[in-house]
Amino acid sequence: MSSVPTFLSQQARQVAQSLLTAIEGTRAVVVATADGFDLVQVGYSGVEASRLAAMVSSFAALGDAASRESGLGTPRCLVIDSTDGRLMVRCMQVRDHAIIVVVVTDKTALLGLVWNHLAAAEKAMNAE
Amino acid sequence: MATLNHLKIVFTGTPGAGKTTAIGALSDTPPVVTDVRNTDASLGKENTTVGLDFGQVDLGDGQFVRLFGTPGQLRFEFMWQIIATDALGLVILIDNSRPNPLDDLAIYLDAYKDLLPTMSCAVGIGRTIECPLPTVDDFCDMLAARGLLFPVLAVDVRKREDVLTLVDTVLVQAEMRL
Amino acid sequence: MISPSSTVPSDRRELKLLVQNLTDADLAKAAAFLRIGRERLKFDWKIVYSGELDVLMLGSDEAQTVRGMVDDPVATLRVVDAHAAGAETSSHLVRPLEYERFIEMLSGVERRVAATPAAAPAATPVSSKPSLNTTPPAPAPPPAVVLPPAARFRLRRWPPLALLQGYRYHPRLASFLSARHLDLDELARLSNVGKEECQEFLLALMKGEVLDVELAGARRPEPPPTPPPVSTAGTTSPRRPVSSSPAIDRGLLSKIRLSLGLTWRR
Repeated sequence: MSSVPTFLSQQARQVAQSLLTAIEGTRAVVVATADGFDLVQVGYSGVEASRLAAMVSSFAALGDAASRESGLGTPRCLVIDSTDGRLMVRCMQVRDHAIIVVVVTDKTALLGLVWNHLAAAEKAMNAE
Repeated sequence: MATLNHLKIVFTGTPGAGKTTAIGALSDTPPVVTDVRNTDASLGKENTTVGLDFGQVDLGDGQFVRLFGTPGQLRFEFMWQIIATDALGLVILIDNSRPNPLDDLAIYLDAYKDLLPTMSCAVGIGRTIECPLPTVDDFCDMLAARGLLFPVLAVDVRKREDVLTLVDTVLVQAEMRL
Repeated sequence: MISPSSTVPSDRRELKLLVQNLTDADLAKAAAFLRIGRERLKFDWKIVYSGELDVLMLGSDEAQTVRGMVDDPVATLRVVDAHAAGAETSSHLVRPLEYERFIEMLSGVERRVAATPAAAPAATPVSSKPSLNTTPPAPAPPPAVVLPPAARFRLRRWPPLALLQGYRYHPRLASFLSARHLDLDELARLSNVGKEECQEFLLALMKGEVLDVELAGARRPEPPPTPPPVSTAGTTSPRRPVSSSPAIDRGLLSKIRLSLGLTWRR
């Protein structure tokens, strides 16, 4: 089992809840550790949180590898644009802890809006 | 004459068994590694693979053998199947210093049970000097109970020669299927 | 005469296994089992037909000796047919003789011998009735360690690393031996490896006790082996891809070996 500080789990829950509320078209928000453990799930994504957490951590790690190999630095956001919605994945660094926030939306959610909210959430978590 | 331009060999097995090391030992180029900091204290490792490891061997004429390493933890099982599909062969690496190495092997045999009948496979048991039990024979007994006879070799994946021997046994099995 | 003993001089104590009224098949098996199982046994076993003995192995109910003149051997092993009364008795060996059971019984005898002070082996006087299937052997030179004649072999376990690393053809031979029982000729033909090298490998596998040996009399029918494809580097077409993976040929596998730098001592 993952061992993360309590403050991080608490912050993760607050952030997830506020993202679910703030972004229209959001179905679920999952916060995971970089090594694939789920910390929080709010809403319903249609898949078990633990499974989604593992998958997006792989996805994020592969994105990170591709980004570095391409000389583009560290990835901030990855998007899976599917026929019925999107998965938007933000890799965040919160005080030495690498976490991944996944926002699962339907087709109506605005991409730019989600990105802005995710960036703001990371700023807020580091400010506390 | 084969028209393909790539083949793949997959390294799977328990966390800490040496998959990343094994691929690094063979790859012509520095392997792609998707290690992140580990938060699971029970693992006893600083980092862990969450995506996949990737290396390749250049055969010339645009042909490559791609070496893939899977993440070891069970929660990444979905990756195991994806990566192993259409592989030339599978190398299962087991760390004999873990609490239940035989149970560990069972996990991978179960996970790949649909692929194993048609896939070449070799099992490498690491850290047998520090942890001699279970013995290689115990692993062989376990495979035999499942009707499987694969090479089971005590190896040190830090030695390139040991990794090569594992791969060679995969290649000879592939030859047999020609 | 079939002798199980090795040509290598040994400082192990010798135990004599006197055989009486065994069939040729049983005798051949016993000799082969002793040869194969030498590393598992603590003593050197020698099959004898008269004279001093430690253990008696009988193919009949009673030993052909003069009553009262035989000191008790350490053990008497009776070889019986499966349907015979009392076949399940612990001191009986049921036909067809099985390697594990045979070695297990001898190991039990060895434990008893080891636990008691060394004594002179029991003496058997010349039997009053000639036995049917035995003839006193002529003194034989120490026999070379050889493969059992007309035997077929199959891997029970994959060979250890030491038998594979650095040997160009050993992994290939092991692969063929893992699939089915093969005799020496079949192995050489299928693998395209010289007979001498096949023989050496088989002997090493026997010594390492990773080989199942099927003697000529106990052969089970097996499907004929698939003829090997013609092996010329880089030109062989794939015959029957087993899975949906891309086509693979021997040339490609050779290239892989070359690129990986797989080299061999021999």
